[in-house]
Amino acid sequence: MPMTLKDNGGGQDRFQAVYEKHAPLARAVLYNICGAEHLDDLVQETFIKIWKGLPGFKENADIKTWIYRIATNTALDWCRKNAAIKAVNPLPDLPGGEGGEANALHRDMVTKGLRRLSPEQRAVITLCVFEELTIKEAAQTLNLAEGTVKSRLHYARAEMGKFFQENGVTV
Amino acid sequence: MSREHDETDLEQLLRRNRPAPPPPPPGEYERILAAAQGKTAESPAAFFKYMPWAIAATFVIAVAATFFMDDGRPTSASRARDDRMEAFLSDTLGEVILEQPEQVATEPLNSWNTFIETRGR
Repeated sequence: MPMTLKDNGGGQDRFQAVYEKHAPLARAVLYNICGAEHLDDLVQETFIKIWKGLPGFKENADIKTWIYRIATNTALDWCRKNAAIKAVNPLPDLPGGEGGEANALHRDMVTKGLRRLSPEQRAVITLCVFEELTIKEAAQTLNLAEGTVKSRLHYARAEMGKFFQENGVTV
Repeated sequence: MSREHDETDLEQLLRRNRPAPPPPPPGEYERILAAAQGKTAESPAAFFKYMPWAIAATFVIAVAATFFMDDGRPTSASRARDDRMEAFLSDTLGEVILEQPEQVATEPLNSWNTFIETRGR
C-alpha cells in the first residue's frame, strides 16, 4: 500500500519522517544512475526539492512515486549537465555491497554493465528492475509513454545480457 | 530457452547483485535541513535582498547624470557643438552681407526705411 503524507505529521516533523523513510530509496536511485562521486550533493538537492514541494503535495498521492520522480529527474539533469565531464572521466567506481567473493564478482559485473548504458537506460533499469516498479509506474515516474519505457528496458536488458556474455557470466 | 525466460533470469541476476550505495555521511539530515531552510528563507526575501542593489544603482545613475550635466551648465561637448554652430551662422551671415546688391549699398538708408514702412500702401 502506498505511503501517503497523511501518515506523517506536519512541517519539519513531516519532512524528517519522509527523509527517514525514503532517503535510502532516493540514495539508491541516485547512486545507480550517477555513481558515488557526487552522491551526497545529489541527495541534498533531491531533498531540498522535496522540502519545497512538500507543502503543496496532495495528501492522497503516492509519495513514493513522487520521490522516485524527483530523484530520477535530479539524477538525469545532473547527467545531462555533466555529459562533457563524463566523456573524459568515466562513471566513478560503484563499490560492491555485502556478500561473498562470487557475489562481489557478479556485483562488479553489474556495476560495469550499468556503465555501458545511457543515463536514461540506467534510470529504467533502476526503476523497473532494482526498484521493481511496473512499466506503468516507471512511465508515470519518468513522464514517458509506456512504450518508450518498454523499449528502453528492452535495449538496456539486451546491452546488459551482451555484456555478461562477453565476460563469461552465465545468466 | 525462451526469450522471456532469459529476461527473467537476467532480471533476477541484476536484482540479486544490485549495486549498494555507500552509507550516508553522519549528520546528513541536519545538513540537508539547514540547506533547505536556508534556501526557503532566501526565496520570499529575494525582492528585499536585491532592493538595496536597485536603490544603489538608481542613486549611481542619478549622480552620474548630475555630474554629466556640469551643474546645469552645458557640458564641454555641447559647448563645442554650439561654437561650431555659431561659427557657421557668422560665416553665412557675413557672406550674405558681403553679397548685398549694389543698390543697397548706394541708396541712403532713410529711403529704404521709408520704402519698407510705406510698402503696399
